[in-house]
Amino acid sequence: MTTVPRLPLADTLVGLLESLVPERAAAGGIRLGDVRLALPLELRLADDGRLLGNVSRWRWTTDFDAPPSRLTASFHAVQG
Amino acid sequence: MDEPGLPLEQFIQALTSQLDRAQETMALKARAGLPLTFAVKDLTIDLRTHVGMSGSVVHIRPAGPGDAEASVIHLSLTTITRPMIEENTQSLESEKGPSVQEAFGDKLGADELRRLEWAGIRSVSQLRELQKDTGAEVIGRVSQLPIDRLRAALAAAAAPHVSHVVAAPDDGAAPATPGTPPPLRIRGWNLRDGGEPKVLIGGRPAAVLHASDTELLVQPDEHVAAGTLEVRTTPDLSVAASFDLTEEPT
Repeated sequence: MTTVPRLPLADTLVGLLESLVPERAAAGGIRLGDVRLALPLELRLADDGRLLGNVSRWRWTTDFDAPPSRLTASFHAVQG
Repeated sequence: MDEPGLPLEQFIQALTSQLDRAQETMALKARAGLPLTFAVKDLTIDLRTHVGMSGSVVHIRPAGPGDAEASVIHLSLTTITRPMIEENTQSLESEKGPSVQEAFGDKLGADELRRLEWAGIRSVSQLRELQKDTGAEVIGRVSQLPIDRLRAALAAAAAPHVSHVVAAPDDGAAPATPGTPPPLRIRGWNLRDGGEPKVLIGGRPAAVLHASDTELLVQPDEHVAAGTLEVRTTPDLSVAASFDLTEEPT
């Protein structure tokens, strides 16, 4: 059995946003402006005090899963 | 026994720290050549949790499996501009002198210090100002501190305190006279209470060249590398402290 590593919330957010930016986004005519996320999120505080935030794992949830919290966030795209 | 969970304050600090980190990472990627990046505009979290109190601390305990009755805490965060930061931190800048934690850490319990902070009192100078304006009874009622504990803390708050003593550098602050030892800078709090304080170094009076609430510049009449000094601000308020100028400043 493999365990899915739990990521700090910052890594999850950056990972999600990066996946929305195409490699050549700046060269194209149409660009992404704002991004709004609304996700179920598993939140937990790690022993070292970091807040872990992870989207639900890709499987059916069972009664043994804790109910996820919900994150809604909006981001504004800026030129690098 | 049920676990008390996590202080809500700690959760919010961990959350804002993660948002700062996400923002820094995205800014770094932009500097490293990523053509497009993102800035956080706003963020809300609906946290499914149980809320409880332990003393004066609000604790949260994440909802577990099958916990249909958990509460939902709705946290909404947004970015603010520099003027807004300055507007909100102005009161912090005006807090002169030591914090209540520094001054009363050994006299009041953590719970009592937190109650003072909840009442908006973070520094000794704020506490003294408030005492002059409203009296100890009102502070006690707002902070829910026992009045005798508060009075003891207020009496301690009025006493002068010396945190360190250094030889004053030749920065023109004091006129240098050939043959006279260098002046001493005494730092602390409550070092002046209206009138001019009296300073004794090794039992001998020293001239006070400059006095403020947090610093005294004094001129000893002979060179003293180490010893004891006494600062008296009123006939019944004084403090004695030892010093050693040969020690490395920390």
